[in-house]
Amino acid sequence: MQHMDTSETRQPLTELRRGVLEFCVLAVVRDRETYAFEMVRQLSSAGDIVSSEGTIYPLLARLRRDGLVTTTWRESQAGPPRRYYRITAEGRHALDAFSTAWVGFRDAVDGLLLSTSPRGDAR
Amino acid sequence: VTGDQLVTDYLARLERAAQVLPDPRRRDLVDEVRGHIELALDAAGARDEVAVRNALERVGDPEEIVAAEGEMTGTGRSHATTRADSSGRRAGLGAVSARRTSPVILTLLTVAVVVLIALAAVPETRVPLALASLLIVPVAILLYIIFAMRRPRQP
Repeated sequence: MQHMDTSETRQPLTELRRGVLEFCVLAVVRDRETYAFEMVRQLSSAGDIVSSEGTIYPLLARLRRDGLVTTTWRESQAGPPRRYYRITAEGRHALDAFSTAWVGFRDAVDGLLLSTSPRGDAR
Repeated sequence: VTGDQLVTDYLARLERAAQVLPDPRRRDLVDEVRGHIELALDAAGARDEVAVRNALERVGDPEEIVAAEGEMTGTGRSHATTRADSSGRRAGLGAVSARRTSPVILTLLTVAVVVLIALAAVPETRVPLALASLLIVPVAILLYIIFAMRRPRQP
């Protein structure tokens, strides 16, 4: 128990990030197709959402296999062709479902975190 | 150490870590990460040691990237899954389901044994005591299985 506590407090957002990242990716490609590097830049500029940029590729491969995104290779002005990602109807559906669930979840956590009386007031 | 040497070393490390992945996906992943590094260095506008080290740090450990690939394929949604990962996952699932179902089954069996022994004790009923005691055998086997499955979870 003691051991678990320390490892979890060290990286409190790691698990959360892992669960939420795929929906952030779907949100980034919701309105326009994007290539992975650009996607990572958008996610990073939104906040501390991606920890290791390279792990976006396994995630994108999975989203593609699951049919939540489709890909197209396109020429780029500079350098080799790029693989562009676009959301599918199924992806949109998954994103909508998550967005709804997320609002409830976020509000519940916020409610607990913000309403709980400061330490010492409880007793 | 030159920046290019660092990139070469990094990609070799990734290639080595990715050995566990099925072939088409392995090549794809290495190509994708290589392309990502190139774009990152282009964006940084430098290829010196410092620029490369910063870029590689953001990309993350090769082992971490490959582990993420294993996690994604290990969910059973895809054809490709590494052997070590899937067997580890299966053992974990087995232990979890055993832990969830065992209290229910144990409770039911215990109740059944108690009821049968009670019936056997009443002279009018025809339930022999031997039948009741037979039920103790499956309970013992079940207990053994549960404990055998739980043990590997302890590191």
